[in-house]
Amino acid sequence: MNIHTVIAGAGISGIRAAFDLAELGHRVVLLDKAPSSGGILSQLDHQFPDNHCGMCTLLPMIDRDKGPQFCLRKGIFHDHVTFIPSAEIVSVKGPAGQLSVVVEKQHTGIDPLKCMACGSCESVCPVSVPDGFNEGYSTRKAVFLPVPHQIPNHRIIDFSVCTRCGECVKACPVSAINLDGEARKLEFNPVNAVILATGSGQYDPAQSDLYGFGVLPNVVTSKGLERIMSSSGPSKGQLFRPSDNKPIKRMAFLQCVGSRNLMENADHCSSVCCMFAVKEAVMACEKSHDDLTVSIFYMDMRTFGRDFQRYKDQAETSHGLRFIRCRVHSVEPCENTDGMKISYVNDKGMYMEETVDLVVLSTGKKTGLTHPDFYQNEGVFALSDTFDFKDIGESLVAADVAAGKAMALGGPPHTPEQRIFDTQRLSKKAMPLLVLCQCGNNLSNDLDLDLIESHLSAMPGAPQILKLEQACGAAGFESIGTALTSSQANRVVIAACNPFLFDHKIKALARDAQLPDGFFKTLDMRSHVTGKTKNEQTQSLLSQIKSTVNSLNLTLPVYREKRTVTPSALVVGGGPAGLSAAFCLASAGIDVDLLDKESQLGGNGIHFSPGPEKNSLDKLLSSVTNHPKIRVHPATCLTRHQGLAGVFTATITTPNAVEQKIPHGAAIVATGGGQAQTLDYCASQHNGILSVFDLAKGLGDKTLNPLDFSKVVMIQCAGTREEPRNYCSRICCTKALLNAIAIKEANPSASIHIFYRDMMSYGESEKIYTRARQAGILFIPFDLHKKPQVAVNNQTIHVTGFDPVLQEDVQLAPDLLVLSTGIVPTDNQIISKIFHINTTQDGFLKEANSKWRPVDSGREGIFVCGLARAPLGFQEAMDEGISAAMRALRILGRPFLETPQVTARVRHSLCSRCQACIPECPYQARYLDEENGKIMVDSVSCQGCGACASLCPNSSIMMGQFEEKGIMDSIEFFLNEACP
Amino acid sequence: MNEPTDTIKSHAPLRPSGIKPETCMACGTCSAGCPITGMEGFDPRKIVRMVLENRDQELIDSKLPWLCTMCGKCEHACPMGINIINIIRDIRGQVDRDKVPGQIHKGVELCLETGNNIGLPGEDFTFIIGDVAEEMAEEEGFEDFVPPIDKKGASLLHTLHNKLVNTQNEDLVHWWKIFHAAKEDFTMTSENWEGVNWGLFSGDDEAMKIIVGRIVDHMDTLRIEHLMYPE
Repeated sequence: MNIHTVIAGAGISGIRAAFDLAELGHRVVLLDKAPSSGGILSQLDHQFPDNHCGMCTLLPMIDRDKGPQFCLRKGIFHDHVTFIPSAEIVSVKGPAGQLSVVVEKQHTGIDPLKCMACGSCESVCPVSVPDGFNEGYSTRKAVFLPVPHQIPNHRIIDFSVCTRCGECVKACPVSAINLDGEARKLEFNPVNAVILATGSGQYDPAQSDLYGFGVLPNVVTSKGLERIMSSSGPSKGQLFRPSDNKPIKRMAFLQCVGSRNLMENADHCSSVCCMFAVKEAVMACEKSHDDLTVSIFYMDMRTFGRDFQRYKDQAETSHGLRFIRCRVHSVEPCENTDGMKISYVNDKGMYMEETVDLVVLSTGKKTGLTHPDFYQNEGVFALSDTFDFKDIGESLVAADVAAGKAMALGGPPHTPEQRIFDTQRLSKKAMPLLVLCQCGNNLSNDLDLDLIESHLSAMPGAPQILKLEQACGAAGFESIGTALTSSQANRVVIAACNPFLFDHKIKALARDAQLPDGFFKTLDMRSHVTGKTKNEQTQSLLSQIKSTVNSLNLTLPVYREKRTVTPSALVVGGGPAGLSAAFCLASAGIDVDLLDKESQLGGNGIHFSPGPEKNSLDKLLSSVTNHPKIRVHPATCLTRHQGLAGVFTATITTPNAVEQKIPHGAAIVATGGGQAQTLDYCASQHNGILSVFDLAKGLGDKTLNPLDFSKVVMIQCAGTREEPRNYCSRICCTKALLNAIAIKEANPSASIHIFYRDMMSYGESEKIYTRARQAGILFIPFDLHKKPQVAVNNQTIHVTGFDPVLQEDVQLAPDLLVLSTGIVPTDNQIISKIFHINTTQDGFLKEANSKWRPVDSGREGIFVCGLARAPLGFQEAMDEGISAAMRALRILGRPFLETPQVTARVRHSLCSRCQACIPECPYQARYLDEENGKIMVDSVSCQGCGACASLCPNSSIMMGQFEEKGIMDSIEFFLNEACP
Repeated sequence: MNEPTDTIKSHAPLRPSGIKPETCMACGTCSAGCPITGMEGFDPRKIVRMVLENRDQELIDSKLPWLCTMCGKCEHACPMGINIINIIRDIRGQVDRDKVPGQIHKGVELCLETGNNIGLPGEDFTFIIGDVAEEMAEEEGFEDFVPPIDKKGASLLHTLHNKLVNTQNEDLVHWWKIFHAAKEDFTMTSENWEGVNWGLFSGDDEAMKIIVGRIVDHMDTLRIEHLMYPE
């Protein structure tokens, strides 16, 4: 099979890039040096803001039958993605498009093709070592499941601790264990591209002598706490302190461990730790029913994501989290107890000491990692800032950008699978074939298959039975195929194990037999081996088989809509995000209509002063305006947008007031934002008071001269990060720092004071903050209740503030006062109505899910990016544009969209048009067709979740394959079985 | 007006990392770890902040720099590697010598004058050493002990804390016993034997240099390779 892309690193970014490309029809090999997929997220159960997981939302939504809709934390299953665990790329050679990629796959001791995951090996293994999955808070054997919930659930052997005693070899009933194997080399050739998504890993705090990590058992890392609280963790979700399993009453988070530390060569912010700590603190409070005091010791709470500030505020008010602005010096053990003493200086400048039960170290990213030597090869794409910590949503955007580069090297034209169905066979009465796997006779002690066979033969509509020694091998599937050819069976139930593992093989069977995939059902026999008597277990399996056969007999072929896709895109907004989206789409061969209400493209970028950002934007502008696939509509407004994913129509009004209709398959909304205005701090009362953006512009275009300023004061978060505009605009702090540095460099004698609440120099911008301090700029933090005061008297600006470090008032009379007023979106009220998409309470366009679907609007086929969605930097906005384009290509890259197997349909005769279902659909797949007066389902957007069906008061909703009759029959069936 | 160049922040010596005091982000690590934060208004973070604001004279005139024990706990954990101890020394060094509190400047003066911080005359020193050694030799196993003084080619130069020949000469016996048992070839010197350099604490770089120079001279003249400071 031809492989188009090899992706190293199966963390969240690698998975996203793999799905991006797989959905475009590419074949992807995804590998990870770890023995399981998921990266750090395999260890994290909950993500803010909703404190759920939700990783499954990342599963392909268009053509979702290409993989089972299955928990992504357990494994990756997609027809076009091959996952290889315990493997690393060792070399990449050749030109892009024709790379030869050599992968080394570690010998893990157990042959996955033979192993049936019975666990006998583990039960006899005499070795016991700390379990890395639980960060050492539990133990494991040398032969173990690296992630307990992983599928396939084959164990592996950790040869670094294995004693080679051979007990496991003896215990294995299928001779799947080989202690002497060696690593294998696999070569993929030719490969279009390689994506590196290998991530960073966390700083090891044991290398510091300050915190007692590794010495004091109750000092843990943030990831350690995550495991301690996890339901798959050492105490099954109870929050106990490690030393003695006693409940925790006082907990302290120490931020920036291994970050923001020049002595550790870590002049960076790890970006995610602040919110990680707040989330964990909330979870800990919830687990302890708020019988817990949590203190977070921080320097700056970096709540720089659009909705993070409110999350933090909410955590503070509803759980009483204590936020203490002081870096803790060290952790000292208490005498005679397992507690620990920490000291700090409070906001009154007083020295304080307290005792806590648990210290959580917010460990930053690991430093000193280097790219492999093939990193510079043509056709090798590393995720931007490969070694950075990123929020999940940002990781996905970075993955989309890398996938976009891999895609640009070419791939297969999208050739949808043409399925032929044996209509004659399908039209006949349901005739089931039941495959019973004996699992190499390994189930004979637990399940009586003969009894099942005889029972079933007596059942009305008895299935044809095929007993196989082992269904999962090639021979097994061949026998099933033969049985299907030689019989008239038109429904198949396979009773074996690991239903998700064999999804693609079962699909192949369905294809060959010309039957719908949905007419094949697999059930897991091993789930009935529960330690009860053989007879009870057999009865339990028998009931499931009978009910499955019964419901399958009632399943009818699904009507599948085939929607021809209009192969062009509409991009609204010609700023950095819109331009990069348009260019990405056009490069992929899609026609683009790019609208901007202004006569000049470039958005906020038109104010850029000469420099790398301007160069980058100019290049993009010229690529877009000269691209034959892009039609630019300047000074044009969008007035109407109708239709469904793949078949939208936009109505636009041209400058000379002519209406025009533009059909398109997907739309990208990038209508941008601009600087906010404020009335605070005497903003408009003196011409020496400017906004941070105006100062940047003035310094850039030289209308302002740094030599004119001898005393400068900057105030951050002016009118923002407090209600009603309670969000961080993300870029003002860095802009202010750069402005200040520019003034100080040109005019070293100028004094510059920056009043700030939390310096949001996240990621590598921390270096700019360090540079600013070294340049002699003075920083004074303030709280909302002690804001600096500004007065303008006799043409003089007076700023009075309070320096909490010195506990003194500060009086300044600057000749320049700069306010960071933040960013607000433009036009979103109108745009959201036109597109029927949602906004946040601050008026930004709301994505479907900030973590897992960061640029999808709630409606399939419509994507949101750039400042219209959230405050962002220039590069971030351009990346989001590409991300949105990649999402649109899932639709635009295929000739038609087809209804998946399980979707909702409306029985119009029962529907009362109450419309209750419309707002409840999480995918905005339901709408009122006003012309026909009917509630409709967009069968492409519908994900078959059934939310509508469960709330419809008239039972007018039918879920393909979960139709009421089948479900009710199954229930009735079980009731009859249980109470005959 | 350019930044003044004679301020503490510009001339306090840096730690080996070479990081300027301006790099301070006022995180509070130093204050949180300092054993005397809060005592009579002492707070290392405040001192650094005042230095950054060029409030040198205020610091020079205050009691604050003299409260510090110079234990170095602050610097050890400072994520920015700020030279806090050197800043304190620099301030102390700028205080008029007659305003240096307690005995330390007097000790420095005496040391410069007499070779030791307590002004012990040479003959008294020789007498005390001999007396203590005689007492020690009365003990079993040390009968042959003779205190080596000005011994050329010895392996170790044993400088003395002045208290060892003053109020706590039993400690002197402990050292000698250890050297004796370990067969260490050590020597003391008859002059300039002081091993405690109070110039370190009073911020007196010049005096410190002279006192250190004397020890260097001893090692050159007596051709000694190893040096022991008693603190």
